[in-house]
Amino acid sequence: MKKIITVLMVLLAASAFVFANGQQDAAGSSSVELSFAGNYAFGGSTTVEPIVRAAAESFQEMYPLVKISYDAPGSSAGVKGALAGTYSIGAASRSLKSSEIEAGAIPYAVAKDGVAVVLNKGTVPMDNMALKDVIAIYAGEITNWKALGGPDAEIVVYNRDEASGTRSCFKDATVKTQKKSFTENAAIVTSNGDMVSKVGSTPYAIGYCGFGYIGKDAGTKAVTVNKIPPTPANVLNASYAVARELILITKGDLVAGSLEEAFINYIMSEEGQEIVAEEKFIPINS
Amino acid sequence: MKSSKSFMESTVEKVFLFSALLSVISVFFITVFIFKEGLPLFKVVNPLEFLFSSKWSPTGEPPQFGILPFMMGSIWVTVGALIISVPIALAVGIFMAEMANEKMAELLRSVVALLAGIPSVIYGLFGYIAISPIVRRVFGSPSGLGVLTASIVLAIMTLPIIISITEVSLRAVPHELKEASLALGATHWMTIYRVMIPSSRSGILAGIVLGMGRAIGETMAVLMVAGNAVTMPKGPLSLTRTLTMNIATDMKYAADDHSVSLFTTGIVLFIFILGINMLVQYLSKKAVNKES
Repeated sequence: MKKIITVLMVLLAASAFVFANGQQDAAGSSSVELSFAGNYAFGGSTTVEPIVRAAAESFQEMYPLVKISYDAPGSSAGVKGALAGTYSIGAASRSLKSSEIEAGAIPYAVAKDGVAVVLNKGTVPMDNMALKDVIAIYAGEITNWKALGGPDAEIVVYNRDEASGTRSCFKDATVKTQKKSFTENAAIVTSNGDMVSKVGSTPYAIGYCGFGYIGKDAGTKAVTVNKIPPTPANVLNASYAVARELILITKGDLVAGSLEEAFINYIMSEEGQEIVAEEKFIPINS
Repeated sequence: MKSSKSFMESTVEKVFLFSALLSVISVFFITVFIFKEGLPLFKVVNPLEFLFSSKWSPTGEPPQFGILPFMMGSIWVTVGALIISVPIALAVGIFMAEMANEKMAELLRSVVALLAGIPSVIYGLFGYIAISPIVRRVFGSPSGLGVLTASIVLAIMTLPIIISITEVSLRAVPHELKEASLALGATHWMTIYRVMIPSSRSGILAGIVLGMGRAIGETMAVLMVAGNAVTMPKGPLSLTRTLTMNIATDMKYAADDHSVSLFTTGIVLFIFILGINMLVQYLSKKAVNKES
């Protein structure tokens, strides 16, 4: 019995030592400039996810001791997480609400993006949708493709959950412009990736996603809206209907020499903005 | 030597007692926590409005918290699941207890146990990939998601519980009863549905109610196949969102009153489950009393 107790005591002491050591490491590294270490949790928008993931990958190559994770529950969760301290950097695909700015959220615009309207490729023949028809579908006024000159089939409307920044941008640019609200009879999906794959696999479906997700599912096609194709050029010249800025968020100002500062600077750098373009989003300064 | 033995004995006893207390304490703390987090909502929202309004718009201006659509959603999918699973489960249970030979029953038992062990997310995937296209084609539901698809998935998930409890209850029926019935000239089937089933009724009902608890509490699988639309279910092909889905969908971003309202939704779910559990306990007690 005594032996067991001794062993336990030794283990306890050893573990205390290990933990204390770990803490010292973390404290030591943040004081040394340009060498970061430790685990960092980022999270938020599913639209911004490809940018942050790709940027984090090259960032981790520069600082091999850094591990960055990205969790994608939606823009509102990104802002909430950044404010609560769960995420050291949050990401959102919509602008901040005044209540969020009051709570101390600071946005850094890192890219521009549009929201594309996507249809099920195999069953819906349209290649163009008038914005007013998109609004009528999402307000629940048109429920059959026949009304738009398509096949006689009920329209399967996919919408995003309320955490989504893409949803809030799409709402502002569509139903809200006519003081209408979204139809209740829409199936809710919780990410851009989920959206394109569900629209691709459900006959007669309509949905919407960030430009970065166009073409990610073979069964989904993006259509022109009011004959304007969803391309970066059309977002930049403001002819495309649904556009927005993608932001990263921290709580309070960036601390000089912090990893958060280095990461945001990296995304804003030429190399970072190349990643933005590679992921099919629009560099912020173009 | 003897003292160390009794020391061991008492240590083991204390460890076990502690474990037992731990589970009681967990239940206690979970209950207190949910109520503490959820009840403050009623300072802002009238309880009647919360329970019986069908307007859920937590981020609207002004926000509205009515969970009736979700309660109805939970009830729709649960009842739907039971309508599908109970006849099948009873048939399988009776077959295993009364008709199958021991080898067959053993095989079925392990398959049922396997069915019970499949993670719910797999059921969800299966429902989305396999069941929703069938529902789309056969019933003409445009999206293939909704009450019916969720009910089918939940029915498969509740099968193992109802089957195994039905089998056990039937096997617990005293032999004398069965033998008496057969001796009076009743056929095997007559004996089953006039003697065996009535005398194991409480046990079977407890199994069904337990299955109901599983169906109402299931989150992941229904999240993938019910469509998650905030709407009052209007029929078996309607999209729906259950209480559990509402908590799971909104929790990640909810703030302030909205976040509180999810705990309040949790309270409602908790009361549902509590009621179901009490019913199970009552029924199983009845079943035990009858046996003795």
